[in-house]
This record gives sequence, C-alpha cells and structure tokens, in this order.
Amino acid sequence: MLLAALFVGTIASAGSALAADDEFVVIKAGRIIPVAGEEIENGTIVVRNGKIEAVGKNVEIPRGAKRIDASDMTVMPGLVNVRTRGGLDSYRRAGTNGQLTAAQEIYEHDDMFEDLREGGFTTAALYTLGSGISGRASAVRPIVGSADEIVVEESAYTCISFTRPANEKNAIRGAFKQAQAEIDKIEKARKAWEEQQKKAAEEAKKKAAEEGDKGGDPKKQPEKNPEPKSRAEETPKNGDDKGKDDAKKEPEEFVPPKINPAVEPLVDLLREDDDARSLVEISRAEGVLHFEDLLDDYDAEIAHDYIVANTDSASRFFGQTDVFLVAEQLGEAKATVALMPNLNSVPYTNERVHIPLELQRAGCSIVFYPASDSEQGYRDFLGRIGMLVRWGFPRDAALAAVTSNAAAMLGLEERLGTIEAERDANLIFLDGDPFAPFTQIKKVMIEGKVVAEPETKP
Amino acid sequence: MRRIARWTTIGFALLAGWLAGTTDALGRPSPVDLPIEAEAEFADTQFADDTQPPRPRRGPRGMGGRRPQAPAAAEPEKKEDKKDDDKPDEPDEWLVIKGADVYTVTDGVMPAATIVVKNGRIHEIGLDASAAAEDDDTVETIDAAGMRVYPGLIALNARRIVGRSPVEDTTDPFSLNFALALGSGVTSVLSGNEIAKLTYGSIDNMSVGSHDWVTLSYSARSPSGKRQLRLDLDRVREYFRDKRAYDIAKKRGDDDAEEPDGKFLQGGKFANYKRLLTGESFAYFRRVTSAGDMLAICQLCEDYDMRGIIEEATEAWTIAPALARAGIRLVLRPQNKADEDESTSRATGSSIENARILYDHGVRFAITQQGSGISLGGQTGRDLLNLPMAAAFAMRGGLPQDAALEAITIEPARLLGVDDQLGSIERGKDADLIIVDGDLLHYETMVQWAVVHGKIAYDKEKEPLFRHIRPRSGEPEDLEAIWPIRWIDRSIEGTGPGAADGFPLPLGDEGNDSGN
Repeated sequence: MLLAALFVGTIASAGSALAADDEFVVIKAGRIIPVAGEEIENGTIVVRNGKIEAVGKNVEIPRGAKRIDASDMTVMPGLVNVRTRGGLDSYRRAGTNGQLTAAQEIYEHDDMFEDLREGGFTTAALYTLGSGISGRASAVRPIVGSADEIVVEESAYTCISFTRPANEKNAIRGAFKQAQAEIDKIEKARKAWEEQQKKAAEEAKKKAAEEGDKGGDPKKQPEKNPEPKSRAEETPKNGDDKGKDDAKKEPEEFVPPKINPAVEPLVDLLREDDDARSLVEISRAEGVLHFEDLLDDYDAEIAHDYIVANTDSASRFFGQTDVFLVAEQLGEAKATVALMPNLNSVPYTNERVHIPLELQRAGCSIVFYPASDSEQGYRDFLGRIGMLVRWGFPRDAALAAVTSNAAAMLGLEERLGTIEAERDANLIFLDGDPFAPFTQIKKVMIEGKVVAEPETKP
Repeated sequence: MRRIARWTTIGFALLAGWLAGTTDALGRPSPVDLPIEAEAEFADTQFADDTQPPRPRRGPRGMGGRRPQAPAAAEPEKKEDKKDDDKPDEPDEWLVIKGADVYTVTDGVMPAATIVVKNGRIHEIGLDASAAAEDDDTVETIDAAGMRVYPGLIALNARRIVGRSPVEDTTDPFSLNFALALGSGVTSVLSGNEIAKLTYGSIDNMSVGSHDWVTLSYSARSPSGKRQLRLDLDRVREYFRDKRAYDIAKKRGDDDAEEPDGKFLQGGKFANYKRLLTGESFAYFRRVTSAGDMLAICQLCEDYDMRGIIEEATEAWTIAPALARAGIRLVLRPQNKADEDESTSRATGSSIENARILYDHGVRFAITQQGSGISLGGQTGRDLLNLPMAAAFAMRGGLPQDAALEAITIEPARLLGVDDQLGSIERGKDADLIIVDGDLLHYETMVQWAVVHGKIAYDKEKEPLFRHIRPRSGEPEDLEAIWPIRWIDRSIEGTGPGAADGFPLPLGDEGNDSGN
C-alpha cells in the first residue's frame, strides 16, 4: 500500500514533467538541519522529481536545474503534524468504526490546508473524531488539489479514544474481543478447509491407486494442495487437465470468510501486521495503566503509541496533567508519546512539571503536535517548543519530535522527516533558528514544489 | 478482662452448640430445622460467630498476568495464595519496615519491631527475614524508628474514591481522592457493594470482592413493608420445613409425599432471604436511628435467626442489652447528633457515650465517619479524611482505645467477611499498613507512609499537598525549599536563560515572556 501511495504521490507532484526530462531543483542554503546527522553550513540540496537526490557541502549540481537561493536561510525538513482535524467537522461518533478513514471526510477546498502549509506542515494526519475506535487517521499533504492528490497514506494509524477509561474501557475491550473472535473464525475455517483438502487428497490417492498408475500427477497433487501459492504456479502448466479436475472438486485456494470491517484494523493489530499502528488518546496517567491492562489479555504485541489529548486543562501552557506519573513505565516500554508543546503543572498545585522532558529522560520518544488547530496554533507551534528547549528539553530531540519521530508515528519514516537522499523533498525555509521566537517560515516546499511563501507577519 | 471472659464463654457455648449441630451461629436453638439436604448444602457456609465464609476473591493479577477467563468466584482460595507466593519465574518483592512500634490490633503491641513483607503479604513480624531474599529480588526498606505501624483503616462509608463495579476498570488510581484517603490512613474502602484497596498507581490487586449483605428495610414508617417482609421470610421458612418433612417421608418409603416447590428461591428477593435464613449473609439495616425500630429489628433477627447489622444506631445506647442479646452488630457514626425527644420520659437522642455503653454490654460495632466522601462542604472534620477522628470521638465518650482502634480496622473487616485478609497485622495477611508519626487517634498525627498490598502507595514526603507540613527531615532553614517549586528548576543542569546554544532568548530572568 505504501508503494502504491508513493507511486501516486510521485505522479501527483511531478505531474507532466515525469514523461519529459527529469526535473531538478537545487537549493543553496545558509544552514541545513537534516535532523539525521550534523547540521551543514552553506550546503546544497539537490532535488530530483520531488525527491532529494543529494545533500551536502560539495554536491555535484546537475545542468539546467532550477535554483533556489536560500543562502540567508535555514532549511529543515517539513513539519509533520500527527493529529489534526483541520478542515473536518466536529461530529463525534461513538462505538467501533474501524471501517472509516479520515480521508473519506476530506473537503479539499478548506482554508485549513492553507493554514497548515503556511504553518510549515508538509504532512498532516487527519484523525477521526469520536469515542472508542473512531476510525483510521489519514496522512495528507496540504496542497491545492483533489482529495486523491492530497492523500499520502489513507490508513496511517487506528484512532483509539481512551480519554475516559471508566466509560470507554469496556467498549474497547469488547472491540478487541470481537476482533479476536474474527481471527478465531478465520482459523477455524482454515482448519476445516485443510481437513477437507486432506480428505480430498486421500480420496484422489485411492482413486489413483484403483485406476492404476497413470503418471506422477496424482502423487504430486496431495503434497502441493495445502499450499495455495505453489498450486497457483502450477495452474498454467497443467492447463486443460486441471480444468477437468476443478469441475469436480472444491475451489483449491483457501478463501477466508469475510470479517467485520469495523474491527478490521484491530484484527491487523492483533495479528501484528507491519503496517498496523494505533494511537491511543489519553488525558491522564490512568489511561496508560488501563490500556496496558486491556492489552494484557492478548499475547500479541499490539503496536500502539500514546497521545496526550487536547483536554481543557492540559492544552493550556501551564495546564494541569499527571502524565509524568507514568513516565517510568512509558520509558521502559520505549513508548512514543505525542504531546502538546506545553509546560504543565502538577494537578492541584502550582508546581511546574516539564512533562516532555521527564518522558524524554525516562526513555520515551517524543512527538509534538500543535495545541490548537488554528492559524494561531500553527504559528506559535515552534516558538512554544523553543520555550521547552529553553527549560531543558534537548534541541535534537525537539527537532526530531516535529519531523522524524512524527513521521515514524505515521509509518512514513522511510519517506519523510529528514533531509537525506531518497526522501521526499518536503522542506521549510526559515529566516533563523527554528525555535527562536521571532523566526518566520519564508518558504514551504512539498515534494520539490514551493507551495507557500508566507508573507512576513508583524 | 471481663469482656474477654464474656466472649470466651460465648465462644465455648457456640463451639459446643455448633459441633452438636443443634444451635445456630449465635448459640441459640434454631427455630428453623433445616432440611437434611439444605444442611449439607450449607454445611461449609455455617460459621461460628467469629469466622465467616471464605470470600471468593477476584484473582490478583501480577504485572502482565493473564486475566482469568471465567469469574473466579468458585475458585478455591488456596490456589490463589499459591499463585501469589510461589512465582518461580518472577523475583520476589520484599519490603522491610524497621524499628516501629507495631500495633497489631489482634495481638497487642510489639515495641520497636520489624515487619517483613513478601509479595504483598506479611511474611514475618519481629525478625528481619528479608535476608532470605535472592539476588534478583527487590528489597525496599523503610526506616520507621520512633513511629507506629497500624493496619490500614477500612472505610465502610466511602463514595467517589473508587469507580463503580468492576473497580479495576473504572478507577483512576492516580486520583487526588486516592492520595487524600491514603494520607488519612484509609487503605480499603467499601464503595457500593465493592470492597477495594487503594492501590495507588496500579490497578492490580485493587478489587477485594464484594460484600454479600442483604439490605432490608424494617421501620415503623412502613408497617405494610414490615408485614410483607415477615410473610416472605415465613414463606422461605415454610419451604424449609416442608422440604424436611418430604425428605423424611421419602426416606421412610412414602411415595405419596409431595415435594415442595422451591422454584421461588431461585432468584430475586427470595434467594436473598434464603441466604439470610441459612446464616450465610448479614441482614443490613441502613440508617436506623430510633430505639423503637432497633428493638423491632432485634425481635425480627431473633425470630428468624438472622445475623443483623444496623447502621447509624444513634439511640443504641438506650437499648444496649437488647442489641447484645440479639447479637446485632452496629456501624456507628459517633459524631452523629440527634436531639432528645422531650415528649417522652425514656432516654432518647444521641449520646457521646453511645459506643462506650455498647462496648460495656458486649455489642460489637464498627465506626465510620459522618460524611461519605472527601469534602469540606459544611462537614469540616467529619468527612473521609477524619476516620481516625471519628474513633477518637468515641474515645472521648469513654470507649477504650483498643476498642476504638478495632472499630476502624478489624471490625469492619469482619463485617465484610475479609478479616482473613485485612484489618490486623498478622503473618499471612495482606500487607496493608500505615506508618504514622504518633498515636493514630491524636489529631496532630500524620500518616507518613501507607503500604497497600506490599507497595508504598503513599509517602508524605512526596505528596505535594502535605510534604511541607512538619517534614520528616526537620524544618529546613530556607522555607522556599519546601514551598512549591518555581518554574525554572535551577537544579536541572542546562536550563535557564540562554542555556541552549544558538538562540539567546530575549526573555527576563524569571521566564517572563510577556515582553514578546
């Protein structure tokens, strides 16, 4: 699926240029922050057909390339927003709705996309709103285009709302139980099918023995029957013979029974599919305990990251939340936690607590997402992270938290989040250090194309 | 001494009666002769006064343990214990509390003793047995010299501390109420029908089970209700009688004997009444204040041979002998106040001596505080934060200290049927303990640590709300050090203005960002 999306993405961005000569863009930057590796002074980035071709101090510049002079600017990977409702309605669904994706809700002409790209976000994950399993988030590139062109990855992660465990724990436990039942159902059907195949094979053997030796075919068949793939390979060779057999027998390929699409993402999670991820939305420390308790029921390693949700008190810069209480537990599990860039206070006290720092020190990987889905929220985003850096959060971790870690949360770490060869040319151009309060984003590039040049704001 | 002698006598009578099978739990001849079958059926749930049916426990789940597939109601207790103690794979967890005076409640005081806790249970008292710990075991030590250890208090009247049933799915174990309740000495609560431990920061071992009281109403305000209850109880008793007659007839070979229809006992209120008449469950009478109602309840319990609990019992001191004779147990709220009824010549209203008088008559009771939650809404000093003060209030009326302590520890455990687990410091019991810096029933005493199921659930030094009050380490010279910390923590290396390279921030020294 990733490959397919990649392919579509290339076409969408490179457009008609694909057929003709390769399209090159060369960026001369005063400073490059690649996130992966050391920062580069006065470096060059070469972009070919929307992908980064090379980056470094001394890079061969292709002939006929379009040049962008950013010698007075800092270039870093485009920001990745792991959670936004930008442009989507605020209707909250209840129950298990794994069949839904946020991509189905997109209204491509919404102003929010402009706000996102002007805020430096070159990728954003739109999530599905609701309680329980509300659906799957979709990663988009905020460009002007049709809904199909906008979507990068339709199924980035499964949204699990767990802000109120007392109300939601039972529902989510039920959903996972349902998913397990579907898996059991498939297993049962598979066993029945295998049994049937065995029987059929034995009968065929008997028949063959009765009829006398006609050739090697009957002997081969029982061995190969249980493996649908080898059978499929054989099909073209056997040609006509097989056609006759088929008329009598059951279909050879195992067709798993259909499963309830509403729990399909959970089935994938329980089966430990590589592409299956989930993001568990919590508001307090208890959410982690209760969710881990739910997962205790299963042997499978269920891929899940946490997001501390935008609740009233936690979204304020000094809002109160107690997530630091489970820092040790999250750190031991090497969990990825998405947070709003806030400095919090201990509930019921005036005592400040630097939750991102505490989690990071405990061993978590941190992702930041804007505290509010608005132009203001996007504009303040990096500055607020700067505050956290000022109070001790490592700058490297802060850079990763808005780029590579965030891309990994969406399963797009192979494509996004760093300035390296083969990555999408999603870049932002800033007139200073990314976290300094007066720095502005001057240019935003998505897959090799400049999509925004925000005006200087007072 | 007098009290002990009295109970010993009763104990012998009980034992003798129980062994002979002719008397019931309270040593009185049973008015209902149970059918043979029924007797056999409930043989293991008939108990002498002090012992109660072993409670089915919801399985204690270790970290990462599997949830039992079926509710573990029928699972025998031994199995659970085994699972807890003999974990071959997991290292043991030890906790040693050193040097404190141990108030065991059931076995006197042990001065400057050591309590060794292993995997959530009290392993040893007096000796430091933690030397047996293996290399990968964790051993935590609390130096509690000069302090006192009591069993954790059990609050029979607690709301909004834990969630609804099942508590381990609905409770925030980090909630403020948890910390506050632990800080006032409460380690277990009865909330609704659920008994829950305040396992701060964890949902393992939280649920202890649910009580099996049958709540009844028997008040002069509803004469028809009283009549109906008696009719219903009669019906159950009638059935037992008929069943027995039928069994005997059948044994004799009488084929014409008609088997009584026991279907009505399958569910609903009659199933509860059956449990009452077989002595399995307590009958619980909520909010009974007047002496008249209490006397009627005494009569009811004696007539039907039920074990009763009366809550509130404001005027109980006026009818103590009757309560003692009926074996009624009480849940008192000593701070409860009721005015005297001047229209009658007999003693009425509340009395500060209520608990003392009942104690002198051998009535057993537990004590709870007045309010059920943690609140200051007009009830300052009478909410859940003041459970020890409720007991202290009873002491003020003359109740001996030992009895006051029992009334908030072992007595509630007995009423709930969890006295095999909770309520006193004994080997093998759950390690639910509080370590306090003085007499528990003194108003100035603060809980320093609360240990729940062998884990430190509360440490006053780490609780932002209380740690600045008389710190254990002594009053610091610099008061600022104990008052809430400022938002730039200079003790963290590399924080503060300009610390991160590359971008000096134009901000003031105190992080005032209003200049932007």
